[in-house]
Amino acid sequence: MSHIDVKNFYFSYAPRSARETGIWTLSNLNFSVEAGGFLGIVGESGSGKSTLIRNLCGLLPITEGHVHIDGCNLASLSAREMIDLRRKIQLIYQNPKRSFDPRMRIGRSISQPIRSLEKRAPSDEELANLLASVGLQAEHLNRFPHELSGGQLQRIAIARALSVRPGILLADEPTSALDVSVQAQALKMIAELREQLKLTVVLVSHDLAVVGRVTDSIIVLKDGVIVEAGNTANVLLNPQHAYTQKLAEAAAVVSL
Amino acid sequence: MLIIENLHVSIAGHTVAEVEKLELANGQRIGFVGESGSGKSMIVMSILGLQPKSAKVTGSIKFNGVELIGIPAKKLADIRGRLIGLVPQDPTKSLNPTMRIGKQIAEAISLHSNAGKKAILRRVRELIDNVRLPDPDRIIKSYPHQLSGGQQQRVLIAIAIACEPKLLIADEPTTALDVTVQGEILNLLLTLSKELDMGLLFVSHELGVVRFVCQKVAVIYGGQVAEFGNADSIIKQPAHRYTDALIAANISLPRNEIEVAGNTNQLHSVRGSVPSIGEFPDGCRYRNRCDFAIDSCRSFVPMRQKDKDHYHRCCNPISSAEKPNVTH
Ligand SMILES: Nc1ncnc2c1ncn2[C@@H]1O[C@H](COP(=O)(O)OP(=O)(O)OP(=O)(O)O)[C@@H](O)[C@H]1O
Ligand SMILES: Nc1ncnc2c1ncn2[C@@H]1O[C@H](COP(=O)(O)OP(=O)(O)OP(=O)(O)O)[C@@H](O)[C@H]1O
Ligand SMILES: [Mg+2]
Ligand SMILES: [Mg+2]
Repeated sequence: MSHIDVKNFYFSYAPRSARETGIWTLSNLNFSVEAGGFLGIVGESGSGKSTLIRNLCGLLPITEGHVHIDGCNLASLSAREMIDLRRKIQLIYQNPKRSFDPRMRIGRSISQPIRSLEKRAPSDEELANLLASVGLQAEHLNRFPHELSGGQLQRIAIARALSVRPGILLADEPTSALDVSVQAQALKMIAELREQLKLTVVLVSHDLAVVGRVTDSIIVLKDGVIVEAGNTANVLLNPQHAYTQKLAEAAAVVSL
Repeated sequence: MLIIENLHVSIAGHTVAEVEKLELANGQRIGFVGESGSGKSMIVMSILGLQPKSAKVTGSIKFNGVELIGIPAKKLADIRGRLIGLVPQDPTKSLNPTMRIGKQIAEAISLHSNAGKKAILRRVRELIDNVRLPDPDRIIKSYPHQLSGGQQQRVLIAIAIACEPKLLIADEPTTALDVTVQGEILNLLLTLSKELDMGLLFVSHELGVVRFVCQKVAVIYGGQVAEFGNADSIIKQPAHRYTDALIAANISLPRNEIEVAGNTNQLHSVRGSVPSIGEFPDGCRYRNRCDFAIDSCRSFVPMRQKDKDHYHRCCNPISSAEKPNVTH
């Protein structure tokens, strides 16, 4: 059974007019990710990558079709199952600065998911271990977000997402606000944690070099439609669709 | 056109940026690269008087002969937007969340021109088209939150170029764009620069992008220019150890099966991390992270000349016999 299974999936921010006009934000998507898989989503700006991620974790309602997580249909979950899903799927966003409350110390921020999903207060030792898993020290728990660098914050965001032991990590451009050096650190970390924790990871990135280095399969989105899908080496080194070819060429121009 | 001399920016007594001399000629394009927290934004924002309120700025920044430091806010506001355009680093913070996109672009145009309503609307559509935004009717009516990250970023570029500025300051203007749109935007900036003789200060952490757009590169570390020269010679023959480490950390496009997927051993980062302000060492700012530091790095390191048009402040530079760390 696939970990994530998307079938005949359609989404629009204005479903009624979409049904009339046939113009969708996401249209007829079909793909699946096996447990432990690492899927990359690349595509044009505005093609619907962030929208899809928000659909996969239940933050936006599915308009047509099905999304199954662990075999459960997202559209027909009870309130209880929804909470369970929130634990199973964790999300990291593009800008680490904005995913932390500036008035809250890191220790408090990082314990939020455990508090709200497991209804308990994590021990200091547990929090220190969490930070250690992403290479940071217990002293960072007392800091405020503005006292940390973007790279450190993004690592803390990863630790926070992993605190409730999710099976799936969805990452929407987790490294594009980071500089190249920190980008490499964060990517390495995601790849290592994935091995250790047997995570299924979906990574959205506009950066083909990044996606190419870590994922094992790719889907390419354009105007809300999947124009190409396949294993990473095939798609990158031997792109078939004209848009993917354009993407690879444009990436080569600005690659060192 | 732009001459920066002895610029010094400090926050709470700590130096965050110091530039002895930097000149930008008409139509010239200079790229600023460096890690997060190295001071790139601080330098370019202080040109427009947009540094944090707590920052103290001294020195001289002359734009077409006009001194910008200490200039009355009203005069500076007029120059900004009419003669100097700015693409700020954070799109979501820079757009007005309660105003429709069309109106925000129109305001940027009408601030500095007295064109009629129709002409302005025409120009709004032209700009939307220039920055490759699809579906102008929808974009004009949208509020910022209804646009994707990359669409918001392009709106900011449209606003910055609305008045065909003489100088464009672009702080990480393409971070949210996919490579094909990025390519089109970079080409747009190049065309504007060439056709309108527009100068460009381009901040980016991606060396490949900077090489594509700019003739010159300034590598920034600890608020200082660590190395300066022609883009190609900086990338192919760096002198400063920091530049070298930065180039090695660049993630390039995989070219074969071995480089694809799961091979994260090939991802390098610059050792250590950028210190917070006030915590940089004396002498060479980079020396506590550098594998090649020697005694003389502890004292003040002046700018030295490597070649014609190539300068750096490294005490133990990469010699021509040595192969740079560069794998590209
Ligand atoms: N809240 C919203 N209401 C209406 N339309 C929206 C909303 N959010 C996004 N859109 C539109 O949906 C489309 C897909 O947006 P989305 O944010 O998913 O794109 P993306 O692929 O993540 O782009 P980027 O790479 O620029 O982040 C875009 O055309 C966008 O303008
Ligand atoms: N408002 C502020 N108050 C205090 N310190 C600040 C402020 N803004 C920036 N700094 C500090 O000034 C230093 C330089 O920051 P700057 O924003 O110029 O870096 P940058 O090179 O633009 O980095 P990035 O690539 O992350 O944008 C950093 O140490 C930063 O933490
Ligand atoms: Mg997005
Ligand atoms: Mg910056």
